Formats: sequence, structure tokens, C-alpha cells
Amino acid sequence: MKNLASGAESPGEGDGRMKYEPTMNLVRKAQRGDNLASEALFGRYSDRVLEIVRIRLRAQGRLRRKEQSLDLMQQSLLEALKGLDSFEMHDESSLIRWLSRVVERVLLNRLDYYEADKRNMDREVSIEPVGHSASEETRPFDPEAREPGPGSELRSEEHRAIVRECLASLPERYREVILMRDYEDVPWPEVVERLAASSEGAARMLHLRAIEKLGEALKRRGITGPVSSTS
Amino acid sequence: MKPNMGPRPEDSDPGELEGLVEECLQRLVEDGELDLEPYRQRVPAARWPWFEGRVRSAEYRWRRAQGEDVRADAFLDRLGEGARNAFLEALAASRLGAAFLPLRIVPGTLIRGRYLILNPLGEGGQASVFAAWDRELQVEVALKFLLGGDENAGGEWEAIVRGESQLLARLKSRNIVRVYDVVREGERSFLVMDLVPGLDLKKALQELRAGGKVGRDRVRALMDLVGRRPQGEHQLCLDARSWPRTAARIAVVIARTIALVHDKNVVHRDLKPANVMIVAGGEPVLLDFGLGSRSGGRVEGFRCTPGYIAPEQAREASSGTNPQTDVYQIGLILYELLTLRQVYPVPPDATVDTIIRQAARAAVVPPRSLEPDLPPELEAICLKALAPEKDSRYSNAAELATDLERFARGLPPRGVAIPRLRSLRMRARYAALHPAGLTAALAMMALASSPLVFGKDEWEAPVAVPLLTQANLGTENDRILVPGESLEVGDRALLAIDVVCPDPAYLYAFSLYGSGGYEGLYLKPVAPEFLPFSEEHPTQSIPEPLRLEAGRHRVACASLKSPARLEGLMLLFSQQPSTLLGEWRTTLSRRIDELDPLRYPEALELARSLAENPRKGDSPSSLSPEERRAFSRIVSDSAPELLLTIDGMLRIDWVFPVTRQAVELR
Repeated sequence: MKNLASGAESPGEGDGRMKYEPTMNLVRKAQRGDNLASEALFGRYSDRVLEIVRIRLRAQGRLRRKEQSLDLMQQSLLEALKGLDSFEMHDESSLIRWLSRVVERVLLNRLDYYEADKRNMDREVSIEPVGHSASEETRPFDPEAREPGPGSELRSEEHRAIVRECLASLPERYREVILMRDYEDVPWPEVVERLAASSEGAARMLHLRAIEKLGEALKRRGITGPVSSTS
Repeated sequence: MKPNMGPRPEDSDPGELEGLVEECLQRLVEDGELDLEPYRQRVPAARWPWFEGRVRSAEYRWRRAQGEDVRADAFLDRLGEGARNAFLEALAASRLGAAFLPLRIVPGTLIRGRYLILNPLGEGGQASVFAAWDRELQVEVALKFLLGGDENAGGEWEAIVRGESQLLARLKSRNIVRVYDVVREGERSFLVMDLVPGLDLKKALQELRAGGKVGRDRVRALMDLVGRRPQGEHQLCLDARSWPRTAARIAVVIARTIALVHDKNVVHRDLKPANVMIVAGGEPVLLDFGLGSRSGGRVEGFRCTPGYIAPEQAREASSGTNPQTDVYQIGLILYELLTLRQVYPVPPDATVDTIIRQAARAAVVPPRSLEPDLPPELEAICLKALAPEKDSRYSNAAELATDLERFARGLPPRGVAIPRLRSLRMRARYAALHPAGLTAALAMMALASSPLVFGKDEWEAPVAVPLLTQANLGTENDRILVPGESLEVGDRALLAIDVVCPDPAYLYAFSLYGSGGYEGLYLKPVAPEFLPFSEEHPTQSIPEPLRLEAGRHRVACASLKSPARLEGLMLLFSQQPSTLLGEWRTTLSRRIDELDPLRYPEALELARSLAENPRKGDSPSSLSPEERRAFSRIVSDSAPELLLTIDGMLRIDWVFPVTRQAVELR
């Protein structure tokens, strides 16, 4: 058994120990400069945060080449995690929101830069960004395949891409309410405020209509149910 | 706008009507009530059903989201057919959309300062399970949340969670996941359950299918997937001898567990491989106890999993409350275990209608047409469980379990008919293996006059059958104890065994203890009139086999442990002296960590010591005296299992009458 009660901070046992750390603690440690804590946060949230950023950028028509841009997005997330100092933790979802905003901003700046430079987007985006930790360092926390087999992983990645496109195609208010509720886990009162809705009931109505529209969009794309792995 | 193109929404420009739907719903949100009449003039008559259905569907979901206890069927009852379709279409779309959204539970969240959410473990129809770290008890647990979020905010949800937790708390079995707590926090409630380490049967079957192994190799493949050593209170279900036996033993445990559930007047109704966790050693643990199956008022009418629907569920479109439905579903699982194929494969594009029709037809491809090597009695048991009419099935899970157990033990099943000769042979073979029925066995053998071979599933070349005539228990004062007499004298039993061998044979003897242990006995041939003696037991852990010529012999031996715990003898006869035991020592020293620590308590310690100093394994002399003794004990304890794998080895157990178990031989 790992000794989880001990507060030992030797890097060797970092992974196992960090696994059982609440996000709140990880953020505090990361703010004190603990790299292992940052890595653990990256591992825990990169999937969700990058998905949110992809959906938003896609809706703005800014992100076309998802393959090449993954590296860039991960770099942006690492950068965001380095700037955790300015973040004040309320709960886990507030971290996701904060991270997705920062990553989005960082990415948009870079894309602006590349586009302003009128260079080929293809080449630029696949180049390792200069002045940041080499990609070697990011590889260990690459979101590893969580699905059991390569087949189902592929299927679910395809599905995710379709969901992303469908969400991007929704009217902005629908997309935002889904992003806030389902991806960022924003509490209702804040959703009401951010959407300038008349009441919580109105926000809930907007949300359920948005999900209905998403379902219709998925159906139009030929998707009728969640990933089924029956052989 | 296109004129009268029919009530289908996709046929007309939805823009204007959608705007009207939005307007209506806004009014509903503001007033809390909705009168649709004023909108009649503004909607073309042909589009009215679509409009009404859409609006009412949103209203239904919105009211549920607000926590109101509204029922979909109450809404549907007030709608005409067209509107009803539109209502259901919108509902289906919203379910589809929701199914693709991430779970609103963020890893890293600390709930109640105690449960730290780690990673998702799997998703069911309505619930979602996460691994979590219990900071108070310092263990990983499973948290089961109900999905559907806002739509499930009503009180019904609470009732379901409470219902399942109370049910599970009442069912105490190591084969049913344990529930520790029901926690409600904010919008969520969840169950805190044991985190069952293992692989769910659905995934296990997928892996086995992909692996393409058959027979014993398939058992080994499953061993590799889940681990061979049972942990904690779990028992071994993997039977290295054959896959059908392994499958039967897994199904036995499921059936026994369901029988326990039936005793509490509960019917599961949604048994399927995904709900069965296979833990190390192969034992199944049932996970999902019909969350939601008791929640009334669902639009679907009943809740089942495609591919695992009993015919009566399909025909009556209800979940049913019959134990035979569970029997059927256990049959489906058994079938899939035996053939690695689903009885009703569900193609990805299957509609609800096709699935239901397929289940109602209940046409089952006989397992032996897929796997010709399956024992016919096992096929018969499986097909009886899968009878289309529930009255033709086993009437409850306990009966099914009994027949599967009989199969696993080599006895003919009771619930199904098999050829008489086969049944006789099974009985004869069983009796020979279980000497409480020895006399019966001899009678049977005479009747069936069939030669017996051991260590294989089928009967092949003839082999001599030594006949054990008598085993006497004695004490040092030369008095022969009658069977059943208490053995309180001295600290070990002295035994005289009379054996009749039709052919020359090598004999090993092991004493059987009530605790399940064995011990190798040092055998000494003695004159027929010789009575047990007092002699030091040699220290070697597996005595050499004793060579016996054809004819009658008396063999003497002494047990090491207290005679009070001695329950019987196991005698192993072979035609060749086995060289396997020598190799066994070497093999064991390398694979000691694979032994079941429950059975071989010293194995763990020894494995650790060998791992620290690998050279020890190569030369036994470098072991400490204590380790050497432990190793010898393990070699000796495991020897019978090894010996039984030798082809043509005959095993005779002689259980002393005082502890004889009732043996089913009807």
C-alpha cells in the first residue's frame, strides 16, 4: 500500500500521491511552484478544457486543423497552468472555466500572429512553438487512450468530432448554455447572470431546448445513439 | 411557407414555427401556465399537431427540470396521434443530445470533504459510476450517480437511489456489490459502494472473442485478464481443466446469487454481462440492481437492454416480475460464456421494433452447433433456461444453479433429459470419484461395464480400476476403530488401507482434512493381518509412490495432524511412476507468487523472500530451515492437484462415514 497519509514530497512517488489530492490542494501546490501538481492538473483537466476551447474556436471558424493544433493547444494549456498565480480557486469547475478562457485567449493570440504573418497555417501550426518547454516534456501527460481498445477509441473520437461540429453549428446562446452547464459546470445562478436570462426557469428552458437542438443536429448527421461496442 | 406538406417537421420551413414555439415557451416560463388556444389561428392546421407536441414536450421536460413530479404519459394522454409523435420525437432528440454531453461531474471534486472523484468507471443507461477516494477510510470506493441531470431532479430520483441502496443493503453476499452510504449533496445524490476490482463480463467476453482461444487456453486467457488468485473472501471459479466447467461455475454463482435475491421477493429483470463483474479467480459480482426499473411512468413502458430481453418482456412490453425472466437472462449469459456469441446480436442500426420482434421470436441457435465440443448436458441446461415459454424453463434460479452445479461436479442434471447410457456413465464416474457412493459405483460399473479414464472429459482407453475395500483407523494400542468412533487418542491417526489392484499400479495417498488441506502420507506395505503401528513420520514432503503388484494389499500409514480433524483419504493410482513431482518442485520455486495465498498461506512470504534473493530459488539449500519447511509444505499440499493432471490417474476419495456429506446419487 502506498503511504498516503505521509506528506512526503519526494518527486519519486509524486504520481501516486497526486492521484488522491483534491484539485483545490493541487492548485495551491501548483501556485507554490510544485511542478508535479501542475502535471497532475494537466492530466486531470486537459481533455475537458481542450474540448471546450475546440468547440468555441470552431464556432468562430478559427480552428480547422485539429490534428496539428493539438500540440499547440497543449502548450497553451501548460502556459495557462504556469500562470495559475492569478487564479483564485472557488471550486473545481471555476478552474475549468478559468483555464478554458486563458487557453482560448492564448490560442487566439497565436493564431492572430500566424495569420497576420500571412504564413501557411499548415506549416505554422505544426511547428513547435519557440521559447517553451520542448514537446518531449509535454508528452508524458498526453491524454492517454482511456477507451479500452483502439477501435472504440476511434469511434468515440469520430463521435466527439461530430458533436463538436454540431455544437459549433448551434446558435450562440444554445451553444453557450451547453458549454456552461455541461462542460464548465457553471451553477445556475451564474448561468442566469452570464446569459442575462430573466430567471433560472428561463435559463433551464434555454438549456433543455439547446440539448434538443443538439440531438436533432446529431440525428441529421446520422448518429442515432451513443457509441455501441457490440461486436 | 410551403402549403400543407403534411405534419412532418422536416418537410416545412421551421423558422417561423420555431419562433412561435420559443414565444410560447417564454410565456410558460413567465406565467408558469400555458394555454395554447390563442395560438391556433397563428399555426396552419396541418402543422398544429407538430407545434402542440413540440411545445408540450418542452413543457414536460421543463417542469421535471424544475423538480415537479410530472409524468410523460399524463401529457401523452391529452395529445392526439400527430402531436404525440412530435412529443416523442423531441424527447428522443433531447435524450440523444444529452447522451453525447460530458458528465456533469468533474474529476478532482471533493464531495462533503470526504469523497474525491477520480475517474469514470463506466456508464449505464441512467447512472454513472466513478472511482473515488474516501479520505476518511483511505480506500478507493465507487460512487454511483444518476445521469440525466436536470431531468431527474424530481423526487422520483431520490426514491430510486434510496430503493436500490436499501435493497442492496439487505442482500448480504460477497457476490453482490456492497453499499455503504447514500449521499445527497446539492443537486446530486449518489451511492457509495465497494469498488469491485475486475473486468465486467461484457468486456471480458469481448477480449476473449478477440483472443480467439479455445478450451483450456480460453480459461488461461480469462485468468490473464482478471488474475488467477481469488482475493479476500472470493473463491476460485476458473477451472483449468476446461472452459465449459469454468463457464458453468461462473453461471452457478450468478444463479445462486439471484436465487438469494428471489428469496427477498425481488426480481432483477436486467441481468446482462455488463452488470456482472468478474474478479480475480473468476468469481462474478453483480453490480446493477435495476436502477430505474421500478420507476413508473416511463414513456418506454419498460426498460431493458437490447440483446438481453426475455421473450415475455418483449411480448408483453413490460419488465415483468417473474423469477423465470431472470432465469432466462442467466441463460443468455451462460450461452454467451459458452459460445462467446450473443444469443441475439444487435446490429448497430437495429430499431427498437426489430430488437423487440427478435426477442419475442426467441429463436436460439443451439450452442453445440457453434461449439461442437460442448458437453450435451450443458447445452441441455442452457436451452432449458432459454425456453421461449417461461413455464418450460427452470422455475427459479436455484433449480438452474443446482443443475449447473451437478454438471460442474460431473453428475447428470435433474432438470433435463440426457441419454441413459451417458447418465449411467456419469454416475459411475462420479461415484468412483466420490467414494461415499463407492458401493453404488461398483454396481454401476458392472451395469455400464464401461472403462474409465481420468483427467479427461471423455472416456477413452481402458485402465485398471483398483478397488479400495477398506480403510481402517487405528491407534497405538492396536485396537481397530469402527468408522464413526471418536478418535481422541494420541495426536495422529494410524491407518490401514486395504486395496485390491487388478493391475500393477503406483499408489500415492493423501489425508484430507476438514479445513480443506491435504498431506502426503508415507506408505508402508504390511502383512494383511498387520494392524497400524507407531512410527515416526518421515520428513519428506511428498512421499514416493508405493508400487503395488496386482492383487490384494494392506498398506499402513500415519497422519501428521490430529485424527479428530482427519476426514478422509485421497488415493491416487497411476500405471507409471510419475516424474512430474521432481519437476514440480523446480516449477513451483519459480512460480510461487502465483499460488493462492488463501490455500497456501506461506506462499506470499516465501515469494517475497525469493524475489529479494533470486538465487535462493535455484538452490533449495540456500533457503532457511523455516523456508525449506514452508516450501515442502506447499509442494506437498499442491501435489494432489498436480498429480490429477496426469492422464490415466485414478483418484479415489474415501470420506470417513462420521463426516460423510450427503451425496446426491438419485
